[in-house]
Amino acid sequence: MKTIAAIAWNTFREAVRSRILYLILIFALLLMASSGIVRDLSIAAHDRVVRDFGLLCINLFGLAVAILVGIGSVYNELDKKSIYTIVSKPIARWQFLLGKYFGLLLTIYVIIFIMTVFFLMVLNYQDMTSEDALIQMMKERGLTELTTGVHLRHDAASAVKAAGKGFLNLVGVDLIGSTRHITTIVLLTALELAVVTAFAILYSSFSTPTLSAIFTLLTFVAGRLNESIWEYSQQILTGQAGAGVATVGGIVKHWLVVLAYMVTPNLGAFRVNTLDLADGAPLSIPWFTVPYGVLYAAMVLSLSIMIFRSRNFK
Amino acid sequence: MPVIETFGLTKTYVRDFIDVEHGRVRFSFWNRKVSALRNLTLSVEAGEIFGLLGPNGAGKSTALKILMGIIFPTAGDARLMGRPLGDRSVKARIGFLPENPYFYDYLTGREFLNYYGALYGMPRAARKKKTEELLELVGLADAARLPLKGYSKGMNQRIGLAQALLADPDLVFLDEPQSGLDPLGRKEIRDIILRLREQGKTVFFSSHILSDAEMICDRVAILVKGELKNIGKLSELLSRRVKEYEVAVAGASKETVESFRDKALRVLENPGETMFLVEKEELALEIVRKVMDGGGRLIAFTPRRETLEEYFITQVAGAAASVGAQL
Repeated sequence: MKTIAAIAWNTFREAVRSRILYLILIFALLLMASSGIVRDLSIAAHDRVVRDFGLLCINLFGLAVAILVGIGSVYNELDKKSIYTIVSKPIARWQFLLGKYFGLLLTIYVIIFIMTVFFLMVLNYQDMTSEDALIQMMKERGLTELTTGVHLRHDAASAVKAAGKGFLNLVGVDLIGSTRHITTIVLLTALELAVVTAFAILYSSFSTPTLSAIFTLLTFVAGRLNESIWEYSQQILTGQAGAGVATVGGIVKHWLVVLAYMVTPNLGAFRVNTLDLADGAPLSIPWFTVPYGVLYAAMVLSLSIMIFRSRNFK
Repeated sequence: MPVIETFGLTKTYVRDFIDVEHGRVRFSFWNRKVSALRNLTLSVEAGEIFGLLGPNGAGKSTALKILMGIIFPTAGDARLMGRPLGDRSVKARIGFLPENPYFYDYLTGREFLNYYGALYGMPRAARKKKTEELLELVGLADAARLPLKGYSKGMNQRIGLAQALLADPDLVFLDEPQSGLDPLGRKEIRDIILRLREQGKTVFFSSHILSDAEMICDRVAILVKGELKNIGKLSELLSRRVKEYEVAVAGASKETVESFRDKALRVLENPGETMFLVEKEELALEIVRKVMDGGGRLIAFTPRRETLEEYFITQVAGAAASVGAQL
């Protein structure tokens, strides 16, 4: 356990000392900070647009870290041959791979944490400085004549207050309407990225970084479309039944699509449809979501270990 | 009891269809098997300094990689300290320095040793103490806070040696430990290896720097094209017979030099000094006598025995000739 922790910590240290991580993070934060523009550009449901935009940022930039940092992490050890000295130490190869995996997860989760706090801060700041909300409140209190010319100050004090509220939101305290459930959604994203990172480790245990990046990205896309793949396989069957003729080509096509459905992870299981998410309404998350994510990641990691165990490090 | 035993270790690689070798793209569709090591059987006793010698591509690193569990043998078996390869209790008692090592350039020397100490499962306090000791031993105490990316090749080699010695190993494997080092650095590594032997440790190292190997090895094995050509103590392998005599004189007359030119193997004339290389002792003594009779003086009289380098070249040339004959 200590060995895995040592490797994980070193992997984390490697990531936080690389420039790419900071580039990703700065870009993500800048994008989130500019979500006010997205809100102003949207016609309606301003809060929802900002919330979805922020959650999308967290998801995509988390994925970017998993791919850009994750894949290089294992490959560099093989390419630069530092694996030679690691393998000669009293550790098993599976411990090395698990250490790498947990180190990457730690990196991704720290980045997600920073992004989430920042995102909640942005939401709180926008909530505090929302002229629409203030005008609405004044109207409700019968102060209609005062609503013209309302102009709120955007200042540092509001930003600091928003940051504080953001931290509190993260632990479930003092939630404003639009931030409700964000922690749960982010945790689901974290679980989804745990599965994607396991794939990144799998591919980088036998392939080059470029190929591994492509494979991981394709897995992510296919995983998100997993339910659509199933629907497509059913459509093929329905089509054949409708025509009254089952061709060999049709059957093969159906089973190939079913196979694609079986081998790709159902990443849709970690998504929450925010359209149905009325403020404050309880989230409907199936009980098996977490065991599914954990078991899937464990299965992919087991496969990586099987490949890695018999590899010759030339 | 032998600490290293190999039984017919063999490694055959299968070349990729497309391979880039020495900057040239090479396509291989058949005959893709490349034999890197063939039937290596040897044993090394505890407390020995054992040198695995051979030209580039002889299979030295392949043998070491198999013993370290980095690659798996195609055939054959090996045991370290009486246990099968990969045994973690044995790994805890060995140290390994690979050839041209790369270490994490984002770590400082101290962080690096601390990390590897953790991989050995050493407690924090012991790690800290050992790290400082080893940094001192390999002469990197002043560079301990520098990131490894700023280390020169020699410094990299030293920190590599330090990580190999972290767990106070009983058995140390060093792959080309002196490669890339200046004479001073080579001497320091030699001294460390000799000190390890004094502490009762076994050192197994590969090298193509034969002069260093000759100075420190108890036994050597010579590998050529993946095959073991010879193994034994240096005193057994190298002929103790004097091969030739080197006579250096000053003030020899031109007539004296000319009279021996045809009989000597070689005559080198430098300002104020002449050197004769002769095969027979009698001839060497005759040269000395004649020079001294003519008013000259003797500077040096050196009987020369076979060196490891000469022996090595004979072995490698012999192997090349036999391969040529087979072709």
